[in-house]
Amino acid sequence: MNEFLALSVVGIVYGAVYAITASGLVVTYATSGVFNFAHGAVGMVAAFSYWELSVNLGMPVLASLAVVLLVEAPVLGLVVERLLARQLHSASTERALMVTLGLMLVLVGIASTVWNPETERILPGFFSMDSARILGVNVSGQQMLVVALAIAVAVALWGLLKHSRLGVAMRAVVDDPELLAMAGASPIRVARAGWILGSMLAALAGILLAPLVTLDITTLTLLVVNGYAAAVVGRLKNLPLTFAGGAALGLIQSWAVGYMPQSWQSWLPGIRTALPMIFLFAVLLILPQDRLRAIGRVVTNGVPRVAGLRESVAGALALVVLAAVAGGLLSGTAIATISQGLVYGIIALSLVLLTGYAGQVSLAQLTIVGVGAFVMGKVDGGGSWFGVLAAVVCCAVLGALVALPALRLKGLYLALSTLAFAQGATYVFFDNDHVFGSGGSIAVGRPAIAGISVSSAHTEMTVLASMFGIAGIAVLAIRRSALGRRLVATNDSPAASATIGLGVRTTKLLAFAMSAGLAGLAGALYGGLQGQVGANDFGLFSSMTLLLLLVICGVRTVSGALVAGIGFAALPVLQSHVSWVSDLVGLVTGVGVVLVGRLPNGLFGSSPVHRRIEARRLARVYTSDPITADVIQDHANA
Amino acid sequence: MPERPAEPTGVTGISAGATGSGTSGEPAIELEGIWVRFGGLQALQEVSFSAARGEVSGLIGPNGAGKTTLFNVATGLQRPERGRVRLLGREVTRMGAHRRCRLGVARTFQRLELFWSLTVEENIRVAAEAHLHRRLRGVGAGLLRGNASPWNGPSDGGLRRHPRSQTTASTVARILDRTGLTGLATERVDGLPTGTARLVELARALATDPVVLLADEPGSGLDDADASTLGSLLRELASDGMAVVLVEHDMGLVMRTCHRVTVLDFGTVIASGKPSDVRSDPAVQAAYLGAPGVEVPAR
Repeated sequence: MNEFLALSVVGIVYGAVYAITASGLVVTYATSGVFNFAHGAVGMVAAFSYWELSVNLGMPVLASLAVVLLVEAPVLGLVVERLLARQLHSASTERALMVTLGLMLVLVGIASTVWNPETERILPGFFSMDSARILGVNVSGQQMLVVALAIAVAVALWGLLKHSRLGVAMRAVVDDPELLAMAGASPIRVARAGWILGSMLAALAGILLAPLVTLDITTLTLLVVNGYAAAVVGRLKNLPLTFAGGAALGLIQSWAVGYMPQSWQSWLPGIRTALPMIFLFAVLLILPQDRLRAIGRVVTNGVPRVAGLRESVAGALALVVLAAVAGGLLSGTAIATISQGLVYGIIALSLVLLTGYAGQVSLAQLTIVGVGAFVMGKVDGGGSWFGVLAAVVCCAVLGALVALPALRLKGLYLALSTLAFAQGATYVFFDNDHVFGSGGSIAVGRPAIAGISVSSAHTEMTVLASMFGIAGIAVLAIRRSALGRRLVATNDSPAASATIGLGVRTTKLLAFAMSAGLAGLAGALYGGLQGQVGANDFGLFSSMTLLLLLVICGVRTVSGALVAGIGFAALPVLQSHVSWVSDLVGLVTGVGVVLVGRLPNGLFGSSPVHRRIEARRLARVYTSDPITADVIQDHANA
Repeated sequence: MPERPAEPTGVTGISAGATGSGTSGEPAIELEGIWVRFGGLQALQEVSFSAARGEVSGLIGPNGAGKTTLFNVATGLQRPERGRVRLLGREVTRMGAHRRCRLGVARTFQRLELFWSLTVEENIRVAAEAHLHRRLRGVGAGLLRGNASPWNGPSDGGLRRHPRSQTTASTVARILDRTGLTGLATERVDGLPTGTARLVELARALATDPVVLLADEPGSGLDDADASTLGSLLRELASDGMAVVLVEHDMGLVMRTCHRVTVLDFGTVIASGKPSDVRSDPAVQAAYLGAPGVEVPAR
């Protein structure tokens, strides 16, 4: 009984922090319609700032707290609202999602530049020494403080929302921003208040969490997943349910530590760490789907023309010839980088299918790639074409299986479920000694071509260029086919698709399976290229970064996939030449996507020159085409 | 305004499946005692409505009267609380939208629902392909059962016939031609003016070879000449054997085009009949003019 109580106290404490961070997410989402993926990163930056002030510079605790909570966090919220969120007001869910993911990468990049991740830092609790005995359980001062603060936050939010003018406006804006505007309150002011409040709550949660876990950039940033889970319990708008969700998650986690059978532990060592992801996944699937904010008409002026067969074959041939020729001229490092880039390019192509055409956001693509590499390494001696085939098939099946429960999810919820899947797979599968062995990596070979093994780097690069070319031709062929039209149609308008007789579910499932199959191919090739693959190659952050790079370069184009892939491989090389900044990859990607995301039509579609050309072309079409002119004439005569 | 008779125009049918296979006047879709509630709002209350093949049936009423909701019920996007939907005599109340489409219901949307990243031609083609796909399935099933005439596919209950020669490409070309969109075939739809975009929606609906066509304000955004052409097109489609239902705010278009008109107000049917009768109905006038009662004092 005592053990149960002790575990419950720990659970409640964690749950209280999750509830605080989740309530911040909900307040921001409800008032501005933007789900802030960078919420955890804001908390992380706040925790590090607090460490800087109170530990490193030796400022008094209260003064440090005041600076971080009352100055830094509100200013950060204000800046984000002004520079990013306001432009996202009428944007599609996907664009808002990409931009806040970009913001998260930027914050992580800045933090790792300012606070070197290699250095170990300890953030003490507020009253680490004092503790009291309650019901026979030792409860520390820090624990009591956390719970008291959570209660205080709940009461303060309740008071604000029920009894202040601003609070009433905040509740009104959830229902109908335009109506609120007509009633004389400014939706922008309300959204600004929402961002400031959200940012402060994120900061508070970060400062409270850091002493409980560890002052580590990635850990703190990803702990927000627990907050996501709690917020989803409240369906992103109900605060009491959100608090209940946070508490439930904290308790489940804590009880699992005490009562989970040892046999589970030995087979799935990461299962405890993965619990929040499993919880989030389960909540997403179980809870009735609330209608997310209507997207309205998604601006698609950036949609590029689709290349024909001849054009795509010519492009592929050019790429192969270029690789064959350039291979003789480039240094070994350059060849290795480009080869890697070509493999990443194939992964990006799989995202073109899934995200570019079918509109399904997946943050778990590298997880699938990792499974592909694993299968390649385990099947048939770890370097045969049979292994490649097995990787493709296994991943396609896995992709369909993952998509199956997620079929009813869309937009934000789908992205969250893939995030939970990616992070859960890292803990349970990739970090598992039974999978990659205790050394953390397995050897993978290259399949021979016509009986000749591919040993030189130059040949390997040419082979990979051909593979990218073939994959590119295939992706474009799919886009031009009936299936491609179905993918795009179900993305553009699910309602209209249903009324012309298209089954939305089958189409989605096919998109996931095809994309995962292609990712599996990339995994097999990645393994062959690297010679060995390990647990660290397929993390959530890499998946996000590659996806965002692709968004910057053009999520619907094969050339965009190529550039994104090469860029993803080249940025780490560039990093080694730049010492004054760390995490260059994340920073460049984050800043890039934030800049592109601010423009409603992407980089190209937003330029005034482009708009003028488009208008002139349409005017020409309307007047010069003889048949159209006839129709117009007929209409006039009728 | 003079009432035009529903003369057959004899234009080559887009809807080959509908041509000649139905008798004019036979009810194609019937909605019976439909109730729909959104929270505290009773959107539809005991509404009955039917549309016959060979006729254009108008559905009018002030904003918020429940017209689009009724369309959603008819197409399967909204499930009614109570009431029944029958399509060609077959109960479809619990059937999903894409299965109803296979039985021959097509619609356009008041708030445009186009496939924005596809071209005009692709928008129509994707619908024609979806349709061809299920037609082929019908053939397969028919052959398996030793059905002598597989085109009377058992998948649609033998309700419709399809000529063998019809291919997707020729269907798309014919529809483009008939709706006057041929010249814009390769344009992406996101650059089109609203009126033209509505025409693309209509064309896309026709590509599914419908028996019942529900057109939700197809005339808004069109000038008078275009609206008039649209009206003739709808009447032609009806005379080919389709049941056309038209929701429209342009009263001129409704009165010229429709054979019958039903008026909705606050979720209930307040009048139904020939356009001329409905126009002079005092209840309708009251609903449109906002008068509290039906009886307007003469003094």
